[in-house]
Amino acid sequence: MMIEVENLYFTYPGNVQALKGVNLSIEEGEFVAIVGPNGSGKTTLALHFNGLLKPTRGCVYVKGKDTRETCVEELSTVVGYVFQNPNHQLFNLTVRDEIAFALKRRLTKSELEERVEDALSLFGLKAFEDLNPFTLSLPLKKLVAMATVYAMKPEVFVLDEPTTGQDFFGAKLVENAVLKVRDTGKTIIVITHDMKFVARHVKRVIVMVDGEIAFNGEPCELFDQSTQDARKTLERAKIKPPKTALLSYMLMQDGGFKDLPANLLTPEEFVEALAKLRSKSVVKCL
Amino acid sequence: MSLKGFYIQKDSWLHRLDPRTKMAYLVVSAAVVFIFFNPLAVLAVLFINLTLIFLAKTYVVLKGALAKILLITLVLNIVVHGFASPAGKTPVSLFNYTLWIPFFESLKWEGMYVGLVFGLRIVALGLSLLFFVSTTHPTDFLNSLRRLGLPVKYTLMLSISLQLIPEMLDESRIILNAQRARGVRLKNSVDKLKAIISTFIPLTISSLEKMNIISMSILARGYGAPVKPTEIRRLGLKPVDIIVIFLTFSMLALALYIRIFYGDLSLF
Amino acid sequence: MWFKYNLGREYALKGINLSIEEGEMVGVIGPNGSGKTTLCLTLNGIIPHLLPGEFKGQVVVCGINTLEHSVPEIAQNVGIVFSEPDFQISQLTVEEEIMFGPANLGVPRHEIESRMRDVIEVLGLKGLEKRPPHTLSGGQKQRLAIASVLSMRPKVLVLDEPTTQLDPAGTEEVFQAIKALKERGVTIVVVEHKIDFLAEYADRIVLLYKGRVVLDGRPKEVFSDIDTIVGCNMGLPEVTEIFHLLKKKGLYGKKELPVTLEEAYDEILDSW
Repeated sequence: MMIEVENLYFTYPGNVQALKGVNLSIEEGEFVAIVGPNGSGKTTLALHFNGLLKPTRGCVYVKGKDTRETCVEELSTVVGYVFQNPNHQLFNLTVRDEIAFALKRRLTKSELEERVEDALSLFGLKAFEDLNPFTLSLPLKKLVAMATVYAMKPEVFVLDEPTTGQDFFGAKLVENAVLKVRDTGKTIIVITHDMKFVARHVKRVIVMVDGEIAFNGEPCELFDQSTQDARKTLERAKIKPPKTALLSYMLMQDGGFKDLPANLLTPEEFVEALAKLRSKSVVKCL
Repeated sequence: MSLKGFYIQKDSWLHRLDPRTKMAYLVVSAAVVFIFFNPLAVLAVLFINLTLIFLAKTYVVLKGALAKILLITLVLNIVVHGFASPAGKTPVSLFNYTLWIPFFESLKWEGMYVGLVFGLRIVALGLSLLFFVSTTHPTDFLNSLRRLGLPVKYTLMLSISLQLIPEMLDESRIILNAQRARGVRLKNSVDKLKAIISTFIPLTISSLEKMNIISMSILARGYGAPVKPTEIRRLGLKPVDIIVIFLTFSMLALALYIRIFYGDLSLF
Repeated sequence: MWFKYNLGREYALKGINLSIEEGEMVGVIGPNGSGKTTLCLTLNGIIPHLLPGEFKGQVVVCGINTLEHSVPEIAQNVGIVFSEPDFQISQLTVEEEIMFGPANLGVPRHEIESRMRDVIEVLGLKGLEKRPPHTLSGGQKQRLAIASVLSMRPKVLVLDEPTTQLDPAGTEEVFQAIKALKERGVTIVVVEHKIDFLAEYADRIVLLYKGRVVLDGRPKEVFSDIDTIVGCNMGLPEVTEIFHLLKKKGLYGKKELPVTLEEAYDEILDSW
């Protein structure tokens, strides 16, 4: 079990109770998304994974270690955290320096070189290695931030809103980078508002509302509009399912497409399902 | 977050004073601490400032980092001047033990005296400033500056800075956390210092971006339009203000009188 | 109109010809760096007065040429809202924030108060009047930013990526507010990446790419031009994507693709 959260309570100074009894376990290699309105505790929860926040009550275990008794420096070698604003994490003169920064004290020169090269090529940053990170565009900066965290070879990758605030192209770039990291076998936890991303790639989604977990399961369950529970959860979390799911539900419910699944998540899935239906019955086509 | 500066909203007669009155006090108290070279005189002003802060019920401002910085400055002044001041002659010995460091030799009484006066001046001034800032609504402050004739360009710059400073403080905290997550060690003071320095670049850049947006916003909201702005909060000198101004200037007059006829009251 | 920043290597806006009717809602889309924000800033005079550079051509808003008037003057007709609510809010309470704009313009006190009540109503900020802005949620803050611009009664409202920093709840709040303003007859220019909203409510879509206007037309027209959209590194509304795939499979043949959920639903029922 990579991460275990037991009855976690957290109160910020000033008596703001951000987490109210959260129970969660994340296994090695999982691809999990944490969603929910701002202020529901998503980031607060995630900051417990690398020890930046310690529980007020309850405990958090990372690879069996109690985070209350382990320091951030040690936990950050197991759990890499990519902050939402890359400007907060970058401060070296070149991309190469940036990636090498945290490794300098821990590795030999050749090991360091290897790690840096590996990170540069995984994220496609070889062409930018001698540039100043601050001169890069936002999506590239995010990739650099991800590369620097990756180079520390953590087993868990936490990404705080990786695609927020980007245009279509930038979001795709970051999305692909996240998938590449997933393919190396890391455990990935993404905090996001991007439901399309969740629908397309995520295997498990955790919905947080008001400091508690309101849902913990697969996206196709969550976005299934034909289920009362799912609808209620989405309402509480003020989240809308992807339009594809809405469309498939509408067609199934009101449009007479009774054989159409109500929880199709992506345009590709939808088109597949529709094509199958069409081949099964007589249809008129324009 | 737009918690502008350090203003604390309470309902005291000091809060209701016109900012110009408080500005006058600020200037006069600054003048008085520099007129005398005696820690007791400076302490008197310091004491008045503390009383004002307590009367205004904004003492929570004393818990902040600024108060700690003032205290550290005081101690530093005493120590540094104690060793290095050219006025120093008599070495400090307690129980036959003299504190001695190479090049600067021993700690000296006169130097410590100088340090004490300098340090206390800074603390007194800091308290005056804290009093002013914690009891003056920023909009009132800017409006009164405008009434005193300060061109819009400068009140605009001040407005922007007032907004920017709390932002920067918040941001630096987040940046430090982000760096810790990157494995930056914060175990000893050297590391802490390095970490703080490395936050300068991200902080400066984001501050510049913010400044850009803040100023565009303010101007796009008509600030500086060639018309007389409507004042939402009423400003005006009331009888209380006149009395306080009178007392303040009396204090100045008294100080000047003592200075002229009795010198700067130095004990050395 | 052409514009090049002083520190820019090339023109940020090239040969822009655009006209917007009163009451229209225009959505401006395009990848980052294509000049959308620059365009917004030319609409209220910030360019060229505050951000100097080489400015060719002219921008006339509500009959006023932006070159001949200062930013605060133009502010009486054109309001602008940016994506970070925190930096646009400068006062200590919601009320003061809303009154700030008209106060700067010298509007008489009683008029300011009535405008404030109106604006609070339209943007759903009732009950929050005395609150300090930093205690508000993202969506509330952004609505406050819109309110404080609206109280100046501009004829044109420009919103530059207003929902980028907001969660889905806040985004929804802002979109509802924009809808309400459209119904009031305010001319609206919105820059957004969330094209599904624009597809549904905008009267016109303008696609900006590398400083030029590449497409300018009804949402259905613009989003059906798949080749151009993809060529500009842009995405499609989700339902349009579905129909694009259907078209590729030979299952749909119309030239113009649906851009809203309702249209998609109707089209599928029609075709099958």
